[in-house]
Amino acid sequence: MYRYDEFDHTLVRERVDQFRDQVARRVAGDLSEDEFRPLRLANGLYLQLHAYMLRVAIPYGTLSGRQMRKLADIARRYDRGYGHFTTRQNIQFNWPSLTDVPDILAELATVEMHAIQTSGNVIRNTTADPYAGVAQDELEDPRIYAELIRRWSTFHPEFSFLPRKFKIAVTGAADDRAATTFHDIGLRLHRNAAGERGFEVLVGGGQGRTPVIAKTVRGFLPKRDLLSYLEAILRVYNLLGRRDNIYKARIKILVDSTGVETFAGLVEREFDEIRDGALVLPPEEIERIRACFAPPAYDLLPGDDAEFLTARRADRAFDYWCQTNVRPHRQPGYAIADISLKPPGGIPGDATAGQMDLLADLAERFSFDELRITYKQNVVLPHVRQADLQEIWRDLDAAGLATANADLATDIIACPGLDYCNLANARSIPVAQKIGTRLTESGRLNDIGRLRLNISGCINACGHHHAADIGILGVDRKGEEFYQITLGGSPETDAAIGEVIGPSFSYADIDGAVERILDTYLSLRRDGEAFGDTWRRIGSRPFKEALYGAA
Amino acid sequence: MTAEIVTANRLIDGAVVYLTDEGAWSEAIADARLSETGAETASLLDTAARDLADRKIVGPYAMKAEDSALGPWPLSQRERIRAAGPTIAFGCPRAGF
Repeated sequence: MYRYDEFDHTLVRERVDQFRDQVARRVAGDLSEDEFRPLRLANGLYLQLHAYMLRVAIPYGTLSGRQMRKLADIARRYDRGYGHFTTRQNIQFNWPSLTDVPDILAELATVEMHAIQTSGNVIRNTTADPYAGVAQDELEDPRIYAELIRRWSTFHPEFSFLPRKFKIAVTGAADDRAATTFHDIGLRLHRNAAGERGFEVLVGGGQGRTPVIAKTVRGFLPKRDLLSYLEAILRVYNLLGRRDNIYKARIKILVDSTGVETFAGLVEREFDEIRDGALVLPPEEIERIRACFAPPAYDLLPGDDAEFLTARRADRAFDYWCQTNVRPHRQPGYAIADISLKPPGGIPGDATAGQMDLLADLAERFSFDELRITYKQNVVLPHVRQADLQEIWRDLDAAGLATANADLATDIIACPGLDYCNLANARSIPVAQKIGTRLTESGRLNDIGRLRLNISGCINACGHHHAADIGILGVDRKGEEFYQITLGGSPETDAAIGEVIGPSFSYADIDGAVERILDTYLSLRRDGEAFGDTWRRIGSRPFKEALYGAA
Repeated sequence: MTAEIVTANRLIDGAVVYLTDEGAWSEAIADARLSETGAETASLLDTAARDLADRKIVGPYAMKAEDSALGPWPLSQRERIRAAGPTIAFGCPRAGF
């Protein structure tokens, strides 16, 4: 794993001291709320519906057992015993006191963590494929580049006051597990015709009230040019992005208004000016960072573990969990284990301090001290021996963490919604709970198969509803919660934005509506056909009829 | 007019608070002063502005409420959740975790 160097340590420590002083001055009355607000936001501290909320960055979703244990410790000592993992591989604490936050940040600094740039109009935490370094379909570990981007973007003076927030995601694999098309910049490592590795650069993706799939501005960017090219994109955006209207300030609106070719031309012109400047990445620098992400010292195993296969045959529940939550690993005899934070009736993405401690423990004992957080709000043990899976599963089960539903219909992404969020129009979590419980009890999860069902409590779309097979958007209708359904979205290589299917449903009716959509899908799909394929083949009509009756 | 109460978050810990009859801030909405006139709401907001300047609270505003058997109660779902806390139980139902 990447470890802080002396610059990182100094920078984070100085920031903690600075914020401690700012909080003291706020409490003493030397800073007004208007003066203080941007300062607290720059340190990830929001004021939500019920309390302050602290968002802590987990760079590219990777953390060690020690770091996870510290998050548990903070949840216990300064919060209400739990944390919420987000769709940007961060964690949020929902109940900290303002006056405790400097101490929390000081605690985080001891394990090389912080809340810098988790809010505000800056470059946010760069996210990456949660299976980075272990996926079979991966060309190269995207975290090397995410880390280089972190260094470049942290406290970047020119980009501290962008028109709006800015999110970057990187993948190095064939399957897109980082939703790169729904980011301000998506980077995809691939090989060009000459066999060299570089990036496809996508710009202008995003969700929110104007969902847009990112467009390619550069088919192939050599690695040496990565930071110079990103700098060029950010400069064009910083100069031309709108600052007069918050709804039109994201780069997606700029790219749409200039047209992608004109935008790419502006970027190329800027890039030409700086391509051989200070931001060039020499191979030695890339290799130096690569060494931080070197594979752990795996045992050399012949292949599938015989005892593991026997155990699966003997224990149906374990076998089912392996089917749904265990993925093939690039190292023979090893596996990737998805740990679901979506138990039926639970809160998507929430983990208690006790659960976090157990995850830390399992990482240290079985996964070379490494965990990943996914944008789907789950946790991953990235390097486990097949032979250890049954013991891991038993421990997870005892802690309520062995739900066998990764990528199934109950693996629901949900934003905090009106239960916590100041911006929300409707609740998301109880809707997720209702649907999760209903689908689990129906016994049809396995039959439905892989399906993305996501819920957002407002048009800002933190719950990724636009990118779901079945998306649910909470809306306010005269003070009452209603839910609009979109169908056919995807965040993967077949990226698509869901289509609104018709009038919205009440809180009481939304789970029944979802069930009717699933009934329609199951009755009309062809063998092995995924929801998106059925949707594209048959169109919206059968779903509309099922929901609203024949026209 | 629709009755109103004045609410804010306490500066130090962010807790949701309501302006009371005595001009203090209470975490219990039952203690809130229910204003029946625009002039009364304006006077409550004046008190809130003073307490904002005195660093007791942040983000004060008036919101619509009605009188109920248990005292003042908000009309909007948002304010009801703000008054009563999240509508979901948090933490893991299994003991020890």
